[in-house]
Amino acid sequence: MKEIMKWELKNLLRFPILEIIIVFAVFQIGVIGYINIIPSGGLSIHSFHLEIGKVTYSMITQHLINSRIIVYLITSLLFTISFAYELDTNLTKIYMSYPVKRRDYFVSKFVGCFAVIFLTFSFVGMGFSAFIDGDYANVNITSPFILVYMLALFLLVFFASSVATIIAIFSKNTALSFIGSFFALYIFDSVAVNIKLSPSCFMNNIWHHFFTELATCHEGQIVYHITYTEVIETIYHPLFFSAVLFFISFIYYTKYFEVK
Amino acid sequence: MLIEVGNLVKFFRNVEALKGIDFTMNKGIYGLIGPNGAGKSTTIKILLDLIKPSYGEAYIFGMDCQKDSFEIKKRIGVLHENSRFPGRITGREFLEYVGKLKDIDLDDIERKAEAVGIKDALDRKIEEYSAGMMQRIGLAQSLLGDPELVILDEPTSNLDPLGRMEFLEIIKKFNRENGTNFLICTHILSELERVCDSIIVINNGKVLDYGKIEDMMEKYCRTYYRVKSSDNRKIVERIGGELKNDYVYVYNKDFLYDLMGCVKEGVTLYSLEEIKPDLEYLFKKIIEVSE
Repeated sequence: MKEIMKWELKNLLRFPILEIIIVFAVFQIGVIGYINIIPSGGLSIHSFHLEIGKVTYSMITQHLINSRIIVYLITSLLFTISFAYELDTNLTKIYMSYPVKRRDYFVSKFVGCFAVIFLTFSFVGMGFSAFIDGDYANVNITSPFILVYMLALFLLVFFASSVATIIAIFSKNTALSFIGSFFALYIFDSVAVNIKLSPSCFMNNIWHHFFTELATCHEGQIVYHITYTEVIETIYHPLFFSAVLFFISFIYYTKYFEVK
Repeated sequence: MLIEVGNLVKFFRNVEALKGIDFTMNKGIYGLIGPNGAGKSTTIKILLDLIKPSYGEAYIFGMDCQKDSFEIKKRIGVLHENSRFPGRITGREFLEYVGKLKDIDLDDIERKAEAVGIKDALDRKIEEYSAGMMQRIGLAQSLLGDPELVILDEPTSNLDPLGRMEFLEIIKKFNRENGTNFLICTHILSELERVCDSIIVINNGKVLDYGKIEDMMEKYCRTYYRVKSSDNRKIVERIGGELKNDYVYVYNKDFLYDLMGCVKEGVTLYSLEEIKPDLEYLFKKIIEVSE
């Protein structure tokens, strides 16, 4: 499993895939966020680190929600390369003819793609928040704002990855997988918002909870009014839906999948 | 016994691709022969647990191909039909990766690359390889770790005649020197004759017959003789056979005494040829008999 994972990461980090993801991530989180924060920011906010932090992270999280299309695009691309393209070009057939367990092969591919997308967007998001704060030393990865951003990103990427995987392994075709995944994610996301299944629905809720109603800044300290039950209720739907899709893909790939 | 297959049936939706395949393979070089669409590649994919059979059983080294495929794959090597290896990496990087999957000594990469004649190109990107070099690296990866059995699916289909001969020589050499057993799946029969001890004939999803080539020749199409003389009718009367296009075709070995008698009686003998049927002829005969 270690070797397959290393190989997968090596392939995904090969020029120009990682560079493309970073450019998209910076554009998505950075440029759009920066343009939006300037009017509401200004020098006066710099004296209140927590306030500026609140604005910064909320802006980044909000822009992750608004421009999630780019996450969907990148996820569709990577999972297509990893699953469907390899099937199309017979590479899966070659690798599966070696002593490789299907379970390890599937998990390595999924985790490899997931990690590349998640970590790239995480680092770009954190880097940008430091840039906006103007205080690089002040970035604290245990800060609730960062954790909320990471949780939102995790749910978004997990959701997109699960949908892209199931389409890639059922379609077994590069073009169909890429176009199908992207449009399925886009359409599903639009529909799911109304039935509380989408991660963007979650993000809207959590953003609302954290930054609008349920957290207040009192004498330089943030006071949270959100309860665990509320957090779990908000996370539950997208996480459950993504996990079910992942589980179906896993069972199908390891038990019934035929490499033709 | 290396491979044992019993009543293997495979449906692709409503199409019955395999209709009860049965055969066994012992040590040596075997050819799995049949026309396109006969079911050869499907059989191989079932042996490798790439697809599941609808019914039936398949064993390699006495182990179940579906349940014990991980253990089986440690002891076999495979070269698939139309294999496209990842183009943007070097041959060495690819062989090192698959070598690690097989948990072999990486020094073996140099040895196998040299044996198949690709050593000098190991540090070039695979996308720069010619079709012949691509097949050679495919053969090298299948031979890594000295497997007991190597399965080759249409291994020479992209090669020119010279490349085919060299490829088959390498196979013969490995069989002779290392005792590697091969199952070669192909529809190009002319070249197979030079390397195979035994064949498995498959058509329309069924095994028509299998065994040693000599035994099959004896069973389906014996050596025959073609005689041309000044009086072909007299020869037919004395020794039998059939007259076709100015030649007498004799299927019985013991005709020389009678033929000499004809010559003594004044018949001039122009030519006498021994004709050994080739694998293509044998294949046609087996198909004819089965129909």
